[in-house]
Amino acid sequence: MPEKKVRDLMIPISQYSTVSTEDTVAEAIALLRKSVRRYETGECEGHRAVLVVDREGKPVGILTYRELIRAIEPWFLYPPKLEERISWPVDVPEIPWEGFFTERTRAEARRKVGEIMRPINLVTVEADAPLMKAVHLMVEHNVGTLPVMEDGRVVGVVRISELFAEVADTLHAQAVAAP
Amino acid sequence: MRPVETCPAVSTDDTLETAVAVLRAAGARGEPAVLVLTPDRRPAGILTLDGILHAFEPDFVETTGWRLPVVWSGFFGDKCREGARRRVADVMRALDSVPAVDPGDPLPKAVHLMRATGLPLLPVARGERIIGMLRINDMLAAIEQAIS
Repeated sequence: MPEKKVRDLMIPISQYSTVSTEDTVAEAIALLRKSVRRYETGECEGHRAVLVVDREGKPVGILTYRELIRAIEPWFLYPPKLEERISWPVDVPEIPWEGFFTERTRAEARRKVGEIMRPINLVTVEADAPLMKAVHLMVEHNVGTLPVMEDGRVVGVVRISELFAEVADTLHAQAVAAP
Repeated sequence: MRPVETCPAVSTDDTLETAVAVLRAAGARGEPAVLVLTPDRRPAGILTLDGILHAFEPDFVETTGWRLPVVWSGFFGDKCREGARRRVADVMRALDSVPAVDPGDPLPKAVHLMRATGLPLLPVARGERIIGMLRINDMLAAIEQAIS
């Protein structure tokens, strides 16, 4: 059987939750939480990321838990780049951590999604790419969601959960086929 | 925080084949990762989806820092089958390299550590003893509560 491509696992863009660059972060959080609650209750397979579209409806970014966490992190601890390899072991800065969580979170919640999203073209994968390339890009860039491109436009999203499910299915098929 | 006793878990001695099944079932309930316990039930590590996928990457990508165009086809099924026999202890993120938070720590510290480690859950320790795990889902709930 031929090896699957990214196209075979991606979620088409028409089936993905979207927010506008002009929406507030609070609105995006509400959408993500609603999706996660449905996921946790088994109501449906919710999404842990939302696509960000501009006023014309064109995908321009992606918003995940990670961008939200990063947005409320104390500004002086920001990494120089949006995505980076983790350097282990991770040090704990010796700074006073008290206070600011609620104030900072409320301030961030009023910002526009376009200000904190991950730009859509930061790391992408082609629809016809082998699955192993998507695996490598996720590990290399420490992301769990990749926009899928075809002819220069976004046609879908592939997530780490789909790649992981494919691993599980491959192993299960192997176990079933074993004598 | 979720108490250690209620966290989905695998053993350091389990194979990745077993761990994949446990992680998949946990993921279906919204859990972002599983705890790894020693055979005598002590917390030893965290196993994430990307930790397992990393274990299935072709070796030359890991060992040479390959940056030239790579032929990616043909690896996925083979690497899955090879990786299935590896032990969880070989691919987990060991807890002794992951900074823990104290139950009394302010949330900004946990926010920073979650971003800096890239992990979807952090150990919560009282002194030397790990008593629970803080999940990224819990953090998002706290964020939602703070703005409501």
